Amino acid sequence: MSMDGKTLYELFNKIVDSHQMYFSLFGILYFNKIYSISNTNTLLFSEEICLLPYQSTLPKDQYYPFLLIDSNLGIPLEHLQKIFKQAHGIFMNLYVDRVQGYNDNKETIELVKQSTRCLLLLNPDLYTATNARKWIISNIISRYQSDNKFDITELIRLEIPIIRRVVELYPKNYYAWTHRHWIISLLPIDSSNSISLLDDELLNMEKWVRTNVSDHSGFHHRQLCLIKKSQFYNSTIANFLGISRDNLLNQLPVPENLSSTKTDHITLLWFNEIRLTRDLILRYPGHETLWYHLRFLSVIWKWLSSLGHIYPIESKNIEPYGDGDGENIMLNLWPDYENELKFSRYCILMNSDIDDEHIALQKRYAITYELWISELHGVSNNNIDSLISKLAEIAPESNYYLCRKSNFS
Amino acid sequence: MTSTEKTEKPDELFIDLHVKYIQTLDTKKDDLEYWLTEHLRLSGVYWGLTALDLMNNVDALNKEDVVKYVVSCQHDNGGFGGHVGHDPHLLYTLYAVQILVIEDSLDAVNVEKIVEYVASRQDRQTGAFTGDEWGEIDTRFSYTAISCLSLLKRLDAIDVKKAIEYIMLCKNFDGGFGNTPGAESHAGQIFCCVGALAIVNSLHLVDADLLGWWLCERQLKNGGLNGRPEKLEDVCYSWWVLSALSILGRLHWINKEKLIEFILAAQDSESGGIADRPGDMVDVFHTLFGITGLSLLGYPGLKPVDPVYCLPKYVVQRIGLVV
Repeated sequence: MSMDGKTLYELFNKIVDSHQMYFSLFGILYFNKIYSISNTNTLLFSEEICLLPYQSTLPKDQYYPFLLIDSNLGIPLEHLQKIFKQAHGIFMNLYVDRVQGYNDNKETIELVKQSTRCLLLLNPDLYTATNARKWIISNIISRYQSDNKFDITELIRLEIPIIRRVVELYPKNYYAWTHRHWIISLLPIDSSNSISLLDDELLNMEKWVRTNVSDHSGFHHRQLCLIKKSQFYNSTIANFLGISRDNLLNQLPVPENLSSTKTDHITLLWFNEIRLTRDLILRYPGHETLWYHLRFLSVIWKWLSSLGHIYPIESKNIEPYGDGDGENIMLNLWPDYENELKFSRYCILMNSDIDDEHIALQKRYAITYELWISELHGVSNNNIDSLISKLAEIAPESNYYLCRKSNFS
Repeated sequence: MTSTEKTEKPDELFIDLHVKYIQTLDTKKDDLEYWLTEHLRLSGVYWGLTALDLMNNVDALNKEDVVKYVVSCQHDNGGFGGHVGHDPHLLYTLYAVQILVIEDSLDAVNVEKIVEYVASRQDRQTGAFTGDEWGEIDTRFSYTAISCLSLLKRLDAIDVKKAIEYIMLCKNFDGGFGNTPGAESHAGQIFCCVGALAIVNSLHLVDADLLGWWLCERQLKNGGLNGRPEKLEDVCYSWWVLSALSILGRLHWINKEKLIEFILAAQDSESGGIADRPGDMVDVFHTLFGITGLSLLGYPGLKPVDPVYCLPKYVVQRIGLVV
């Protein structure tokens, strides 16, 4: 029996509606898990769905040709494209409407919701999926921005759990992380709802990076949240865009006049992040991602210092980090160049007698970090040459250090 | 496979097998994969044809058929879809132009319409490019547009200065680039940004030493390259990382021998093709980028590849873009 796209699409929606499955919009189906958002914004574990390469053999079944066994929905592969095309057609027509003037009625919005839900569930193309989600949000924002009662943070509060689920299930998803960043970038910095939302996000991200120390994307997102948080403290802080370590070396930004707004918040925010990172480095030796995060922190520290947003604070005004055991002397060092070197050397010496791959990597990353900050602080060539010689020795498989070494020897 | 075969690493490039593998791709119409990748068909032709040309076998695909197929993917608005009947997109438009340049057949399509389509994808205020009417912005599309128009010698159709400004906003503290301003540095995006800047003579804006260092740190103990810190090595980064280093004049910073060994180990020594890493299933995408990587590394028996356009160098020379 051949079925047309419209019938299949409607039946598909009926199944999804009747089982109250709110499908996330990122092709999560490949993980056989779908999460839902209830009306009260709490995240609920919902039913599973997966694509099955076969169809129901019972033509009298109410869901035929779909197959619904317990919580597994089978979608016959041969019908996938028909359903997708149907949803695609509906969605693209609505899109044309937007260009020519958005059709502002409930019916249209329902059609958008329904078609994108279907589209994104079936479409394995993550970029397009993310994009469509963006499209919906942008539309809602532009539609309601003149309405005083409209609060964008409510919308964002709804979106974050979805993305959180996606990146947790599929942490390598570059585009889901980019989307998560885009959502945070929408937060207005003059609203108290925003700040509580950002604080939640920072807390989420702290939990995430503590348990995913090799997830570079996670740390990157945390960096963007910390910059956003700094902007809440001081709205003159620009987004840290298009500025590399070497740009700072060549041209330091000019300090701003901050006398009236000077507070310790920004300094403490970043100092605490440095302490967190050092703590993780000592707990989990040999993770490139952690050292890269420290590199980032060294650059933003210098940038915010030269702008006057970060300055030395008396130690009595700083809460000690963690539970106060012996190791914390290293964590609590003020992050000037000398102390950064001290930390790095401590990492090199720690467990240096143990023959272990992670310990060997830790040593290499620590020396590389010394090279990074030495260049950042413009120290003499002699010191830099000696670091490069050390690296050429312990990382002989990398031509980079050998090439740099041959330049001076 | 016997145990002795398993432990034996291939120490040469199986050109004949790879040519045969690419030639028979279009005959596997009963395979599920063939069906699922329909929207990538035009890309597949580009990947396959470029690999064949680099292996001195461009004629393994019938020129007339290839050109006819590409023409059938063009839409009235000038853009190309990923297959007949699929929506137009900048990515497929570049693939189409690249194929036609290889086949020396640009006259088979309406070039003016292509230029119009590509130019219409630029946001004149930010300089950014959208991939299609869905509105997604990405530095990949900046590269796609700039490379495409350069091949057509029509860079005048876009605001190049603005396009550069947008790319430079995507530069990060580590010297790398992401897909949008503030996004994480990623080797694939870095190739796109560095390649685009090279075409518009703006490499002086790149922190070549800093970025070169980051790119070198992508090489792992097994010789393979990853795209971001602590991610798995993948043959396609032999292209994204290596081409960027080559454009920056720092190819020698990589351990070439170890990388060649890694790429060769990812070959299927029975049916041809190259996988993302040794032991995995092969596909035409990784087959191309394994071969382009080897070409950049000077592996014998391959034509030189152009690191900016990802086309055989002689093709780029033929249209007068490099000397």
